[in-house]
Amino acid sequence: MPSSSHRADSPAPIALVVGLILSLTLLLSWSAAAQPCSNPASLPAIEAAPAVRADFVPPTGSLRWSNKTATNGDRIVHFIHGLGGNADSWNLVAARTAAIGTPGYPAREVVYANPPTYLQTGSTLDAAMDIHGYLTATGGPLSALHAIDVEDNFMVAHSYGGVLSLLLDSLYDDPQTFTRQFGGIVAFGSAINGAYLAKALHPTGDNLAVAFVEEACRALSDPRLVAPQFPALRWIPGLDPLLRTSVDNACGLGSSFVPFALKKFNSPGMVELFPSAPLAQRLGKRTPSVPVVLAYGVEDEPVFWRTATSMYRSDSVGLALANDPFSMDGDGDLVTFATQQHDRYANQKAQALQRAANYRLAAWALSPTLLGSLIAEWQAVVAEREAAAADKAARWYRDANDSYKQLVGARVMQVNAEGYWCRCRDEYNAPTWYPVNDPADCFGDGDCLTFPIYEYQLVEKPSDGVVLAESAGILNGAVASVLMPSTNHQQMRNSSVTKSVLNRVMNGQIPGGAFFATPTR
Amino acid sequence: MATLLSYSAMAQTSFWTATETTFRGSRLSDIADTAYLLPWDLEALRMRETHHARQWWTDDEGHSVTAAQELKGDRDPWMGPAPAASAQPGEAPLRAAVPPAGIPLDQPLELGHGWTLTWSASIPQQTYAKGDSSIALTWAAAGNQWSVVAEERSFPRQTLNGLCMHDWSFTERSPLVGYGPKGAESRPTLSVQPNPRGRQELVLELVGHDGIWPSAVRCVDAQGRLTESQPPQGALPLRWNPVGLNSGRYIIQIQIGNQTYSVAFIQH
Repeated sequence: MPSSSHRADSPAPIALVVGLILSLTLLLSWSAAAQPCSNPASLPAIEAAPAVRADFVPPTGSLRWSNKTATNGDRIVHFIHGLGGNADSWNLVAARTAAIGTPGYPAREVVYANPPTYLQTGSTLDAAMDIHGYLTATGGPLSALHAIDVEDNFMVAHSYGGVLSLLLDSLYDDPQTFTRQFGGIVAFGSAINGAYLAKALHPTGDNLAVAFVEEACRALSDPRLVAPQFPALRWIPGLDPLLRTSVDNACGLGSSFVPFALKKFNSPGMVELFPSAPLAQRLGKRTPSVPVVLAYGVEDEPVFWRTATSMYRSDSVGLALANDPFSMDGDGDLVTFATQQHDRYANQKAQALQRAANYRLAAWALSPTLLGSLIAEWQAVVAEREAAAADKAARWYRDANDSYKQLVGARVMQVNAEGYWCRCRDEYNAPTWYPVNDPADCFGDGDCLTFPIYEYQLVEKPSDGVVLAESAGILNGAVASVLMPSTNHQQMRNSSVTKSVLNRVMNGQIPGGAFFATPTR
Repeated sequence: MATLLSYSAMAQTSFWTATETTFRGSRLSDIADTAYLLPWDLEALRMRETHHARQWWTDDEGHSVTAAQELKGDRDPWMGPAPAASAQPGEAPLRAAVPPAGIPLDQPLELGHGWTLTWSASIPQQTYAKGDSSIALTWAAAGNQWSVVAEERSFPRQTLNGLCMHDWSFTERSPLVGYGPKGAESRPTLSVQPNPRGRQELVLELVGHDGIWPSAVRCVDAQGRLTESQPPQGALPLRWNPVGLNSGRYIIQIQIGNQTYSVAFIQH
């Protein structure tokens, strides 16, 4: 075969790669050795003020489109999936909208069009053009067949699909190049003002997807832990090969524990969703040329475990969704799991510490025989190490939610200086700590030292677990920003809240959104 | 006159209790490092504070057991309440002499894998150490015995991006309160003042034993009906102002672990 002979004839690239890997390994080893943990930690742990909740207040809707209505007759609703999705993502909802319906969700006078799958390995413009290709090649002829004006059609888009729909709307402002293919947009959880998570995960951003998994593996893979259990977090079945390799190398766990497996999370288009990226800056400030309804989710705590539950469940479209495409309401499975695991490891820690205490008492009893006493003391140390490992695992299960919210941008931690700790200690008494404003005020019995006091200021923002409400819910000139309570990013395509929002939109119940009114069959 | 309501408590040959206050969090040697911290390491720097009431007693079969009840936890609200405490083998950390006889002082004793144990005499303290890892237990006189009053642990670790952190915890324990099989300590008695009481605040005290944190405080009437209760409010002595009581005889109960202490007072 040409390819194999080519490889056989060209060993240089292989040697280059091997050399590069060896060099990187050496560099990493040197880096680790260059900063050993040899300096005692001198600063006390940082105190945190109560978190400030920065609630999102949606802007007042625009009535600019109040008089725009669709012409009588059928229309097409184009359902556009989000990142990592495909034609199947919206298919059940699309089918029930055009025919059959489902309890509480009547079918509308809508001509069914199979939702498209679009290119996700290029830029946002590539993806938008791919959707435009579908609209002109499929949507256009189908509309003509049913005598529908394409501008009566509208887009129902989830996540990245909403960003692409708005991008298309901006492209359609150039009638020399494009013919407008839709007359309105309903965007669910679309990061039109940028996504912090995209920046946090993308290799050219903070590249923290692998680090998050590695940290979890470090905490949960300690051999001192009793039968470690890893959360079942496989967010998307078609795991990105790059992430899979990294995780396998770090944890040796294969795909059993892989959060952030957002397929295509490292696609070039994600760079354009960084909050500081020109596209996000421009789209969020542009006034759309068609009526737009925004739906933004605000998930309950713990946002991470609830979102992960829904991501994991939506790996496959189960029987429940086939019967009712709006049945994806429950998201507490991993909340229960995480709580149980936290309590299990906390209990292991408590038991290990008690074992250590028991060994110390045994050492006391054995103190006349020094060797026996020291063996018992060693057992106490072993138990202490087990307690430390269990404590780390318990903390991971508790803190993963807060760490994840930092990645999403839903939790901002700022460190502020707040004076000094004065620590005095003599040879007889336990050390005393008290706060002073000036190091000169630190004096007392024995030796006194000062350490700066730092305090965390915590600000929490509502999100759907992937996109901040303030990113998905603000667009100048939008008809309305509709809250989807207790709904995460994955649920907002298939939950009972989605059903309610779609009903309100197509019933014409959104003030200023008469265009979307679509009669039931 | 204080009485112990629980029959099993009366039957126990020993009962000890103490309140444990624990501070924990990771620590850095240089605050400038926070600029490079990953989200989970930033979270780890948050200092957490917990309070537990720990008890040691002898069970019906004469075994020494211990249990710790959470008074103030560091769980996030979404995790719900902590599971109920379960008893496990363990006896009160009380010793007649510190350091133990025959132990060389102020010199590290090899334990294994690089860990050493050093008994310090000036501050009665035993310290396990290996490199920057350390576990230090401080002892103090408790009546005519000694008990552990402070436990400090510090384990170094390196973050994924190479920064040096220490996982640190510091536990302070109130002096042990209770009684032992040899009768070295008298049974604690609950006092309430003023008695009789009008509208004043009641001051509740476990005589001679400040710092214990009851898990509940209740007021019951002469027929045993609950008139008011309050969850953990802090360490003894406690101030409480049960309101809306008619004239009569009432009983204040405080719960410490599996023990209930009670004392009667007159409301006039």
